[in-house]
Parts: sequence; structure tokens; C-alpha cells
Amino acid sequence: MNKAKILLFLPVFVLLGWVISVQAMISEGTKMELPIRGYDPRDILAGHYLSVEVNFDDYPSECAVKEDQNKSLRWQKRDAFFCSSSGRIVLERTADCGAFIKGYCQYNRFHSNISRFYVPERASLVLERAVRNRDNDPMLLLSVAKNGQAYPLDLILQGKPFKEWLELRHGK
Amino acid sequence: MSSFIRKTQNWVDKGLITQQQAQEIIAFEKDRKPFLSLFSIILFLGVFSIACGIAAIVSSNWYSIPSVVKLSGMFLILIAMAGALPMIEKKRPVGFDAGLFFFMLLLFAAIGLVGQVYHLRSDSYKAFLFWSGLAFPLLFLTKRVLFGWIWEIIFVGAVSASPWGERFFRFIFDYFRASPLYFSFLGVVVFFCLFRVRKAALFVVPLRTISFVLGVWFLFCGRNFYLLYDTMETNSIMLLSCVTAFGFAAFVWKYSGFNLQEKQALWIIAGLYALFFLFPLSKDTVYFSELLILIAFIFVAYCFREEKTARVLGVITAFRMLSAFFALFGSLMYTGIGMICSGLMILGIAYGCYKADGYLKQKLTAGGQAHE
Repeated sequence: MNKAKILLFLPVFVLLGWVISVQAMISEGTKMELPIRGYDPRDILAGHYLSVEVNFDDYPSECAVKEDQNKSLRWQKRDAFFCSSSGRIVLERTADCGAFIKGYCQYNRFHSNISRFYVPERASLVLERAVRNRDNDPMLLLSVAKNGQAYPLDLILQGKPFKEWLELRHGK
Repeated sequence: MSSFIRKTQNWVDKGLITQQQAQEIIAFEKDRKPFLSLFSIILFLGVFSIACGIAAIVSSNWYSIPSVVKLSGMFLILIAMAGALPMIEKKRPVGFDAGLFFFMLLLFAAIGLVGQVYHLRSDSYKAFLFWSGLAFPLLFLTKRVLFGWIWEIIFVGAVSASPWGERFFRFIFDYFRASPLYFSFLGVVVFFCLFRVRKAALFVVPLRTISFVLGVWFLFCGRNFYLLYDTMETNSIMLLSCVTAFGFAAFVWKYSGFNLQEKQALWIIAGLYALFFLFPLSKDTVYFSELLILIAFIFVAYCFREEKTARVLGVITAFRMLSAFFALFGSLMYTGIGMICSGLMILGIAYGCYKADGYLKQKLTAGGQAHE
């Protein structure tokens, strides 16, 4: 195999390896549905997406800095975990945590790495409004890998996948 | 080509070359492949347009096509190109370069597509850094400096935007913040260290040009953009600056790539910088150091027989003098006498540049011949 072929195939194999590793993590991950709230920007590389934030506020959390603790902890990023088994946000992960989402505590709140969900360009405006409307009970279906990385799989509106919701709404 | 033929005929008529020599020169130039031909420009534009179209299709979200098909299609295109390009590498070098350019753009599209399919969240700098890593091996397949330019700009931009880049610039700004002169000198040092390096032109040429531009930029803009003056706030920075100047002077002395005239010119530059490192400049006198260093650059450019660079530097110097003049006497422009004086000043500078240009060319040509 000559030098040109090796150098040209090298990035292709690296990309392929990346895709396989991400797909493997998603396939082996634990499925979870969590409520979200959203707003809408745009990614120059990958098209329209909803910028969403999983709403962890309804879950008990250890992120809040106590009165007797150092106040500077409020703005420091501290590693934290959302445990699916107990539905709690903890600073130290224990064995009974089960499937967990890795994130961090800052300003007394838990932040995860889940922030975007790509949607069809044509439906982006409708979905953006739908996610903001609490009546639609917007949720995100996630696949959570063993290392705590969460991958969005689907957007759920009124208990249905968003494609189904769109079809019902527009009578397609 | 026809204007070139006319030129050579002109030389023959003036007795500078013989008809035989003229024909040999024309035959040589005909066989030489130009760096940029109309065909290669159009080819690159077409390839770029196709790549942008593919990226636009990716970003418009192929709603109706399943993710598996999108990913498979992308990888099939990449594999097909990786297999086909080596076949045309020797036979069609321009086509190979265009194909390589397209392949590199496709890698961008592939990163975007994977991010879209798996809803991956990532900062832009990570995507560009990833692309830089993927595209790096491909740079060894071409000699076109354009690829080096694109890769270096993207890589440096991505690193600068990264948290490590931010931390690095914060450290540099905090520690060196009073020394735009030092950064200017660093740019000049890197430029001259790479000046005669012929290997790895793909990486060296953009790096060299960027260093030179930064060297000149910090000379002017350190004051205007960063509101800094060339005062060495700490002894350690002063020491570091002088050590760098000394190290550069030693390198110039040892390096066999420069002739004596060029070495002397570079020592003058290093000496000027060291002088201004050691003697702190105030807000009012820093302008003179800029001007002196710029004039020294012009002299160095002539020593290196870089007449185009010397002329560009001459224009920069002239504009710098004019901007200072108008900063001081700008209010005169409201009067007729003021405008006449300004015009005379501009003509004076132009005449001075013209005379200096001729004198330096003559002097340095004679000096160069004596050394040869």
C-alpha cells in the first residue's frame, strides 16, 4: 500500500472508529426519560438544533451550598452525579447509584452535558415553541453510557416521539 | 506568455541577450507549471462550491433519510475518494490537489454529520481541533503552501479558542503585558530563523509570514490596541529580552545561511531592540523607536535583496509618519495653508522614499557584488 493510500485512509478509519465507539456507548447505555426546558440557537457545522436543558430542579440535590460551608463553593464547578435509582443529585457516587449522569454543580444547580437535540429545519420553529410550552410535557429520551455520558435519542412531546407528535398535529 | 515573448524580444533588440538565449528562456517558461493557473483556480473554486453544497445539505438536516444511510453514504464517499486519489497523484497533480482539498472539506462535513446524527454537544474549537488532527497526515501529500495556510490558521485559531489557549494568553498577558516590543522582537526572530529554511515549505512559509506580520503588528498595535508602552516592568522581563536578543545575535553569527552583509543587518536590528529593552520608553518617545525599527527593517530587506518587502515596509513607514503628522497637526487640514503644508509633507516623504530606494539598491548591489 503506498504512502498516499495510507495517509488518505488514516482519517477515514479514525472517523469510523469514533462513530463505532459512540454507537456502542449508545447501544449499551441505559434508557432514561427526563423533563426539559429549551431555547433555540444554531450550529454552523451541523444545522438546526434545539438547545435544551434537562430540568433537574425537581430532584433532590446536594448542589446547594450550606450556610456553614465556604461561600466560594457556589461559583466553583464541582463534579456531581444524577443517580437514576434514587432520583437524587449527589456529590459522591455510591455503589447503589445505578445508572448515572455525570455533570457538575455550579451556582447551587446541577448541570449536565445534555444541551442539544438536532431537529429538521422545517420543524424547528414549531418544536422550539412546543418545548417551551409546559402543557406539552416535553421530555428527552436518553441513552446513558456506563461512564455517565448521556446521548439524546428522541424528543418526547405529550408522551409521543416528536415525529409522531408533528404528524398528529399537522394531520399528515 | 505573449507579453513575456515581447519582453524577451525587447531584450534581444537592446543587445542584452541573444536570439538563441531568448528562445531557450521562452521554451523554459512554457514548460514551467505556474503556481496559480486559470485552470487550477477554476478547478479549486468548483471543488469548493461542491464541498459547500454538501456541507449545506448536511446542515439542512436530511429529515427523510435514515441516519444509517446518511452515515454510510458519507463513509462511502470518503473511502471512494481515498481509493481514487492515489491513482491520479502522479498523472494529474493539479487534479490530485483539488481532490485532496475536497477530501479535507469532506472531513469537516463528516464531523458535522456525526454530531448531527448523534446529537453530540461540543464546543466549536473541539471540532476544529479534531479536524486539524484528521487533516494533518494529508499535508504530507502535497507541496501547495495554500494547504499549510488553511491548516495552520484553523489549528492556531482552535488552540487559541480552547481553554488551554485562554490560559496561555492570560499568562502571557499577565507576565509580559508591558512588552509588545518583546513580542515584536520574537516575531522577527522566528521570521529570520525560518528565512532560509527550504524543507517543509508547507508549514514553514505560513509560519514565517505570520511571524513577520505579528512582528510588525506588535510594533504598532501594542500601543494602540493594548494601551501598553514599552516599559519593562520587571527586571526578569528585561533580562529575558536581552538574553533573547543575545541568543538571536549568536544564532546569526553561527548560521552559515546568511552572508556577512545580512548578518550585519540583523545585528543592527537585534541591537536596536536590545537598546529599547534596556532604556524604557515613555508614551511620547515610543513613536521614535517604532520609526527607527521600521527604517532598520527596510535596510535589512534591501540587504536580503527583498525589494518588494522593502517597498511594502517603506509604504508602512510613510503611512506611520503621515498618521503621526496628522495626529499632531490634523487641525490644520481645516485651513488652506494647512492642506498645502500637508501636501508638501506628503510629496517630501514620497521624494525621500524614492531617493532612499535608489540609493539603497545601488549601494547594496555594489556591496553584494564585492562580497561575491
